[in-house]
Amino acid sequence: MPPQRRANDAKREAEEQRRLLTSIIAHIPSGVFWKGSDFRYRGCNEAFARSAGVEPPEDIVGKTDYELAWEKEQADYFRACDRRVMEEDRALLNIEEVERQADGRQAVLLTSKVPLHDEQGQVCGVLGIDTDISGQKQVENELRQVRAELETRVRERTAELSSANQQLQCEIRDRVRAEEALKASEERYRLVSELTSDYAYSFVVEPGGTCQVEWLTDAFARISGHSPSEQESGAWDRIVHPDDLPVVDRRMRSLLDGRSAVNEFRIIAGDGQIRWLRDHARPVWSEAQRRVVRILGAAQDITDRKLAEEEARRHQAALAQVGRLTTVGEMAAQLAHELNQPLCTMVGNAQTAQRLLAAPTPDLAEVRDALNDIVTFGNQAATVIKRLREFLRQQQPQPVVLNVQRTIEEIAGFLEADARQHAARVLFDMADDLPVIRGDRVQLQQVLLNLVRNGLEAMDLRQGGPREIVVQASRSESGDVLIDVIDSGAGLDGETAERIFEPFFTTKPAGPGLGLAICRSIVEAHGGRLWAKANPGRGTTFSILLPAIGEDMAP
Amino acid sequence: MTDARRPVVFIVDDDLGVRQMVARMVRSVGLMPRAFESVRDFLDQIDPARPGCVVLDVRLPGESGLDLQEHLARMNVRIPIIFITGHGDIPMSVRAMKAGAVDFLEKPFNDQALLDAIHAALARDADERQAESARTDARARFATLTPREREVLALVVAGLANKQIAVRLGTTGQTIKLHRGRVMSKMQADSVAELVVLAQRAGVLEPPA
Repeated sequence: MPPQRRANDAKREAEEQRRLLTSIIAHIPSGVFWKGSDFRYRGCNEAFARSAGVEPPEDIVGKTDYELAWEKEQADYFRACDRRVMEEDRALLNIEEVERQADGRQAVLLTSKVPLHDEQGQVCGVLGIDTDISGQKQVENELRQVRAELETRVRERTAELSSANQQLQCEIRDRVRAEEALKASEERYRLVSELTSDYAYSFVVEPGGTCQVEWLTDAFARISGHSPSEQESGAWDRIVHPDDLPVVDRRMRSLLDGRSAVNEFRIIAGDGQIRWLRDHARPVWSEAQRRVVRILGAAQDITDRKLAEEEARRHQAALAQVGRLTTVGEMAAQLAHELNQPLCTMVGNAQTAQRLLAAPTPDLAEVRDALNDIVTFGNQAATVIKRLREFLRQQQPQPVVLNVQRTIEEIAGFLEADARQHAARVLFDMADDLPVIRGDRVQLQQVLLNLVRNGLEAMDLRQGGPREIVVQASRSESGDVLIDVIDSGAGLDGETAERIFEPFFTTKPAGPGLGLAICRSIVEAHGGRLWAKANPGRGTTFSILLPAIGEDMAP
Repeated sequence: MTDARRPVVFIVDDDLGVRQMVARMVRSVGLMPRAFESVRDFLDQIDPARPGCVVLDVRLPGESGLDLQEHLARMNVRIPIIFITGHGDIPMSVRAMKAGAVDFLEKPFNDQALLDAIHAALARDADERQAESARTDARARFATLTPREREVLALVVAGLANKQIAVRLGTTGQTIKLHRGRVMSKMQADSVAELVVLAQRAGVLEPPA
């Protein structure tokens, strides 16, 4: 082969290789680019130009990464990789990186960079190939998710199985426990029916409507003092308090009609004492016989509760009465003020009229006005007095025969509560042989309450010392009742001891000063006496003497 | 006496009967009453230039009599106050008197006691107003003096003779005599004693150097 031809062949072959290379570069699905040692692009293929936002690819020549679509951090990174490749003269292969494309898409790229050499073997640039592996990455992620889901499901199923197993174990344990509990419950039931104040029963209802005891717990006999056989119908009527028979009859009718019943009624116990029962009964209906065939019930002894309620009611009534006393004092103070205004106006007008008439030529029109005002305000004062009279009429005493000890005991709770508020104590000292008296229970209680409150306030005025008030009830030498209220307060001098009973006299910074005047008038209305005396040591003794009524007058 | 300078007895009480009665009583001795139902009404209409005194109920609904006393003190109105009260409340009367009340009367009060208290209060108010106007007068006269005349006045009231004053001020006795003549005429004083009183009222009397 002639050299010319060989040369031509070689040339053609080189040309073919170049075309092949160009075609490969143009068509492979990866981006291909090359840069000079000055980091400027010398060229790239179509795919790379697209991702770099350059069109056509030749336009990239001469540009640096900073002039392309990348963000600055990305360009910095490319520059660092390029420098490393060129300085170390070593390829960097398969760098995986997330890169924002010219179209804004985040792509995962696998990039390799290799150094380019000139004819002398010196590094003169860098060639890079990057492949978009986003799709591949996505598949990988999806696979990972599916695997994770599968694992979760397996774990859940395992947990379900394990919990089912546990539940089963629990149920087995519960069964055992329930059996034990049942045994304990039976034992408890036996104890309860033995020990409590309640009893339970079951009656069989016969077709005629009469009842027979089927069973009855022992507590019944203990509560009622009657044997169970007496609980049969008929006998029942003798046990129930006569006043409550209608209640019991209504209860029975209601039960036979198929309705439950809750009732409170009294029975007369074997010892003759009255006991309160709260009975809760339920009928058992037979569908076959179309009637009530059995009555189940339980009853509770509520005698103590009833007595306590009664006591509380009495207490409440007493409290309302005590409230009335403070109202008297306050009302009196209010009345005093209401009377003072018209009185002041009347006196002033009368004096002015006198003055006007003393003039050489009296202004009679002015005198007439003054007299008119006197009439007007005189009438106003009369209205106030009328109101007071009406009020007092509602407060008439209601005398009854009284046991002094019980009368005092009824308000002991109030007195103690008052004393606690003043950080003090009330002590009671009552003789056993007190005669009975005749009087208004509440009014006398009001007097005592007032005296004790006075004493407490007197002790507030004096610092230190014992804070005690003694309420002492005894039989006086004359055979009457003497009640002493002894405080350890500031005490009284002789003159004050008498004046304190005057209306509106007070040693206290606040208060109308009517309490003691009213107390004295109440005691005197009872035919008694009320006085005060300074104690030898400290404090004051208020004494109430109430006449005893003759033995023949006592009930 | 013109009507605007005639003293007024102001009555503040929420009770209509008491208000009318006090007004009538005040009229019966030839004085001029003006009645108000509340502290607020009174404060809205008070004229500090008007001489007079106040008859005041301590316990009024809303603002009390003691509140009024405080209001007036804050407004720098020094009108005398006579308190009347439904119940002799000792701590309250002490408080009122300390705050400058001239009297404290308990309802129902004797008419003479109230009228005496009113007359005393009006006299006190008149004295107070007269002293105040004399002070204003003296200050006005002093304001017409030249600085040199003020120096001369200070030395005259300090008891110095013309010659001594001339030496102090570095001038002749003759000149001082002229100044002194003008000081006496501008201050409208006939004697040195009178000049001393006027200087005191004007608040310019200084202790001698």
